[in-house]
Amino acid sequence: MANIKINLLMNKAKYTSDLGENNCRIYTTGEVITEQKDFMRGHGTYVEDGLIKSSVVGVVRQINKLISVVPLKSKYVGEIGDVVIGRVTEIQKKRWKIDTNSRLDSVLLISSINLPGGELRRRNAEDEQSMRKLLQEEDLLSAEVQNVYVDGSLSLHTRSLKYGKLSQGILISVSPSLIKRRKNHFHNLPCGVSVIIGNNGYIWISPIVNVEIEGQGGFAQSLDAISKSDREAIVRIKNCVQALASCYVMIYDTSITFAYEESLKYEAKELLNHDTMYEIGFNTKLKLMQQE
Amino acid sequence: MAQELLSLQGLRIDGRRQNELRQIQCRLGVLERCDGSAYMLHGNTKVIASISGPKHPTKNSANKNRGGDEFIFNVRVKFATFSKNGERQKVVKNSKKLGEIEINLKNIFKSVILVEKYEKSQLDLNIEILQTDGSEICTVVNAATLALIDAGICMKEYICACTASLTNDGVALLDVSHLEEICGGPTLTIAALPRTGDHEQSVAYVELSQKFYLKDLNKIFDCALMGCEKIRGILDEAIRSNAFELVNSELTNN
Amino acid sequence: MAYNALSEAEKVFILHGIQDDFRNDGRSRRDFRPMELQTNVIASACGSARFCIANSDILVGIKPEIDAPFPDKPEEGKIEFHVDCSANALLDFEGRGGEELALEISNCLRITYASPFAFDLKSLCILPKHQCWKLYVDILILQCAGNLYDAISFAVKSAFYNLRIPRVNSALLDGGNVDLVLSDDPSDCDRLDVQSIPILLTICKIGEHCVIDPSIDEEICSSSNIVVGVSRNKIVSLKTISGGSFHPDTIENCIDLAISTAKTLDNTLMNILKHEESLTKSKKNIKCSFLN
Repeated sequence: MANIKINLLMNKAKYTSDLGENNCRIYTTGEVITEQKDFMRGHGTYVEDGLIKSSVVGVVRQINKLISVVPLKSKYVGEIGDVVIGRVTEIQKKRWKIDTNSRLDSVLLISSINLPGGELRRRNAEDEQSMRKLLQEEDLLSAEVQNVYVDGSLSLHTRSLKYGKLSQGILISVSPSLIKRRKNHFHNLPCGVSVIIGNNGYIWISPIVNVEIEGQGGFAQSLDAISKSDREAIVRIKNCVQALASCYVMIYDTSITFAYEESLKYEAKELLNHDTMYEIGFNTKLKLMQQE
Repeated sequence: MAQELLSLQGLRIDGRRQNELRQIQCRLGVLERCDGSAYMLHGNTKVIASISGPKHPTKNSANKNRGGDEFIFNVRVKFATFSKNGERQKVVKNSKKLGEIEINLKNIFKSVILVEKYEKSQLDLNIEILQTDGSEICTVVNAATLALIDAGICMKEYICACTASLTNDGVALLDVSHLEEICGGPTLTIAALPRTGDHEQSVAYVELSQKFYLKDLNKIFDCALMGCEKIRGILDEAIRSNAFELVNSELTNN
Repeated sequence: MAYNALSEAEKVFILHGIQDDFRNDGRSRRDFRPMELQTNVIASACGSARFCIANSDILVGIKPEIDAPFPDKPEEGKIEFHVDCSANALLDFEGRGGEELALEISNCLRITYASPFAFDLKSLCILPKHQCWKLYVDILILQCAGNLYDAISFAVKSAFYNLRIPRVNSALLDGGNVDLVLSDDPSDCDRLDVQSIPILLTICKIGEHCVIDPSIDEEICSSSNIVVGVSRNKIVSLKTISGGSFHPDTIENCIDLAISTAKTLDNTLMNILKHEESLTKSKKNIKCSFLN
């Protein structure tokens, strides 16, 4: 029997995270943060009449003397060393153009990749012509930000075994400000799912691949069918991450694991309902707070 | 003129006082698949604004720009065919009226967006006017401000827009409804950066139709500016409550 | 954040999921995503509705106008459909892509409503040979997350349920001129019988299987699509869309699937419409504002 459910928009609840102690200060566009004398301006700020003002709506982040404002939602602004997930949009001479959810496409130079099997690159015309064998348009890859150009666009590299072309799985995109910066962005969750949380807000969920056999660092792709139990876990994690994003919970390994545990009382497809999503998000947030 | 704009008791056609705004409701982030969006109800004027970008310029826009490094800002405004009372609107392509609104919006927002941060990128602002009841341009500007903020675009200030009119006796009326628009009288539309206190207000856009006495100019201008300030308060509250509900203290110690 | 490109491996993952009857969001092949609905959202239209299937967001407004009937159908009214795509709804909508899609959809609606089983055009007649109602059904696509045809047809049906046509108190033929007297009381109006108004169901063939309510990613993977118009367990239209071809047997299966699904869907839709109406009546102060 088909599962069909229609709700009334009139009754639709709006998510509120009323956990009482919400005491963070929100700065809005044009609001004065501080005088320039003592501080330097970072992202999301501008200087007028010697005052540092916010140019977006968000919360202030201060690193030593650098003041920046993190907006609630925005495009990805890259930093060197970030783990990102991207999709090839165009192949040009000696470089791939990669969409990384930033305001300009990123660049992956052919000199910034490791060839499969650790082979050294012969700098000739042949390997430029075989670029499409490694990465085609629309292919997904994981990479690290190598450099930020003056115009703000990023150059990427995949010179490590953990980076490279991605095979079967699901990509979801959330706001980059929801991604918690951690030492490690590659996680193998206990439920048998591998998650790569890109700093750029793209999250890749896939079955765990044995790095040594498959050699993820290469550009091999396995197109074999995934077992149903793995698939169920992947889909559940995907729906959980979406629930977290809709409730504005920070996304990292712990929050995903908590949400997964919280979701087990429901079927995976029930997580598509707003009420269930809000419940999962809210409970995860509670659990994270208790843990602190 | 069929009807008096202001009754002897000091009430307008729809029962408002002379310096009273119509009801305003707004919400941010209504369209989940866009980078930023906002919905605005001002009186009975209903508008949805959505943002796509900043992104790598599409081939079309890049060609138009002839490979320059400038910030590409596209604005598209559309009246829904069912937006007006009475007869259905015809579907018109490239209408002059819309083109004019689009150019105005482009200029208004280029004055507040920190353009230098978006060199080489493209930003698309798309506006759907679902229902009209006067002061459409204002509602569009206010909705677009909210959508830009929702998308996290760097701006100097909010831009708020408001209208004002004048009765025959020289009394300024704030926030003109459709009924008052067709009753005649001059209509002033302004878009301003109305931060009070720490900075002088500045006006980014003015449009004034019909003739009136110069001595009334200040009156009508002040009236509209006061409206902008009030609207700024309303937008600010909506933005803050939206942010407050969502924001997580963890954002800071990231 | 709209993402419409998929790599080969992602497509394989979706394909295998459909074989396993476990889709990328946990649904089975016979499940719809959660839907939401609100009627009477546009005050300047005589009938209006907003309908969402997940993030596919449709707004419909109906305006009646008085017109002369076609000479060959003197006792019938007219309906005209017009579809408009919001430019940010889909990336492809930039430029002409949106216009073609809009034309395709409005054509599909036109042939569906042309059937006398589906819609009683005679009910729109005011004075045979001289005057009839012409209903302009204007559809605005605010967002698209797949399955547009279905979402639009549900939205149109809901708007028809909400439609109030001004009552004509008398229509007299005075010489060559028609003398119409419309009721002065705005609450005095006619409603249409919507029971038989058809709904459209898209059946999407992915690999060897047929699925309903395809998401945007699934639409990319599909080999062929067929839209079935169903009114009271009868088929009123059949149309293949976006290329591909069907084996005649598959079409039969698709039709069976469409009829059985449409039955449940139609019941659910009518029930929720009645439910909403009773709620609106009991709570007089519900604001007629869209998106609240």
